[in-house]
Amino acid sequence: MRALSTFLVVSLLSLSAQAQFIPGIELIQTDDLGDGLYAFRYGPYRNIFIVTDDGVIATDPLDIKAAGPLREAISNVTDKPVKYVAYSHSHWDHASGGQPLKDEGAQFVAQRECLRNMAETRHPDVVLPDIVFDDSYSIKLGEHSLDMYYYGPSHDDCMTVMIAKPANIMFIVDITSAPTGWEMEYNPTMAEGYLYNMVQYLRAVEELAASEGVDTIVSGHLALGFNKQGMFAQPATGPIDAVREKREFWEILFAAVADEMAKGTPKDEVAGVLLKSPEFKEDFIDKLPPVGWKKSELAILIRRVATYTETGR
Amino acid sequence: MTLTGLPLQFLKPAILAAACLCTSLSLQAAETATVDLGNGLYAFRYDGQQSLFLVGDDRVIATDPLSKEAAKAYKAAIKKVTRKKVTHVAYTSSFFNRVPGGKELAGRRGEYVAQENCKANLQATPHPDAVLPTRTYTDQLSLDAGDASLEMHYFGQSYGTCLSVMIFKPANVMLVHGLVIPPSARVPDDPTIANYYLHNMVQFFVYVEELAAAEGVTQVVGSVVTEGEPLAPVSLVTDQRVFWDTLLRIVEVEYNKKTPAQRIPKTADMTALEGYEGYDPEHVGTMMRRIYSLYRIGR
Repeated sequence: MRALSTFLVVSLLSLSAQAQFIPGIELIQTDDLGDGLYAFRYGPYRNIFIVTDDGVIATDPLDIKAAGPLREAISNVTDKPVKYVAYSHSHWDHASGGQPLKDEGAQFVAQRECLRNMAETRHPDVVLPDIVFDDSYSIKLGEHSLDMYYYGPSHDDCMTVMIAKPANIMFIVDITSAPTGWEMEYNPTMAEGYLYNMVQYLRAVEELAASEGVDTIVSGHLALGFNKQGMFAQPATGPIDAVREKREFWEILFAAVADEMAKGTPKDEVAGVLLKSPEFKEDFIDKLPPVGWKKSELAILIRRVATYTETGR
Repeated sequence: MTLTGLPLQFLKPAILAAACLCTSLSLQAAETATVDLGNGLYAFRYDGQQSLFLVGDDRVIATDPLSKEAAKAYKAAIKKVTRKKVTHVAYTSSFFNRVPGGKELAGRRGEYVAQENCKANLQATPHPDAVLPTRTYTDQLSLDAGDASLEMHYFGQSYGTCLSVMIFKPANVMLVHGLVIPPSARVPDDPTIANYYLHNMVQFFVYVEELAAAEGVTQVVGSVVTEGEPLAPVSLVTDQRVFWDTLLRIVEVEYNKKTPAQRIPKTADMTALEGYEGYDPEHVGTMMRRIYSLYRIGR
């Protein structure tokens, strides 16, 4: 749950018809990305699944409402069973709804901390992982694989990025978004976000992408674009540059807040100073999209970063 | 309870006098003071932060050094009270505004004590002035200072991932850094409630209440300087638990009504929160934004 534009989508969800949850944007969408890889979207949430001759590798089941449409989307392209479900992280808004896939025999895979989180804060619709790993894990079915990588805490403490092969497309949830990483955070308080490792995590993902030759990502949320005609749905895929952009987003923000606090500006006043600063406008604000976010939200994010600067966490 | 010997009723002006004296000596100097809480327990105050030190019959156990600069003043303050050495430095947490500066207090031979997750945190994100814990514990530890002791207890993630609840004996005073601050239950200063592990918050307070009852704790002390008495009745723990319980339930009600996160501050009934210290609707509204995620994502 991250992009600010996603909030708009969520807000409109309850007001709209089932077929289109925003005028012009379908509630459910499946994209064929080639090489057996598909992107499935239910409202603002997205996952991927890989179809092989030996079965299907699915990812985040999203929630109980998405479970039926997801199964239907898979059935529309293959009659093979779902053999694996890979969790990107432990948050309920992506990880719930997997029981129907469990019932057909799928094994659930996640980073080890996800199991601890899910067991500690149980949700009736979250299936606990059967297979856990520490640093990386490869789910293989025939000539296809879904490779999962963990680089420490980020959006939560078990977030993994995944590379679907042979499509060589990265699935990345909540820590950046296609088509650009220059997007405000959906929740500016950062909820469970682990700021101290965010830059390192994203840098590790950049290095992974470079070493694996990945140039395309699928993000875990629908991103909205805005033009003269209004809102539109950004494509499911975007450039790998979105990872670097998000890393730069954090680096610039962290440095600006740290510099301001080093001058003796109290934590609660940093946002007020930065939001009036021409330098901060040029370095940071001007890189954000012109619409779809609020300064009051950025002020909250700056306050969160001020705490990180003071406490190291 | 005295400020180095003064009766309590003179405490506040005396602290201010000490602060003013420091200020007059150097415009750069932070405000410092030492408060005698009785039974060998003292509060050291530095620039709004507060640490505790316990003087036993053969040693001194100090808590959070705060910073390199603060720790120098801290050591000087301890010297004014006793000639005994600081042998142990106990960390309440792993936060950089509490932990750095230990070497100034206890040198290289001192023992640095923390819950085991604090060590992991400080290893993951080192601070140049923070001494890594040399002794860790999982659930409970007692540091002996002869006729006094510091009991440390861990009840899971709460404020940070390694917060120790401390009981100073024989004073039987409890410290819950960041979460329980005399004189009364309050709204946290940070509206983003960063590092507050909401999924365990109420349960954490329940454990602390049970501990206090089991150990016969009667008073609590805070880790920041506030107006009024430095100690409060242990019932403050319950009051603060009720605050969290109330706040979480308000947001849960709105979440169950499917109120969008950004609208909750406008629709939620905050009446039950209005009497709390530090209450401000906008501030609490930001907290509610964070709390919404607890119900949406589980953390």
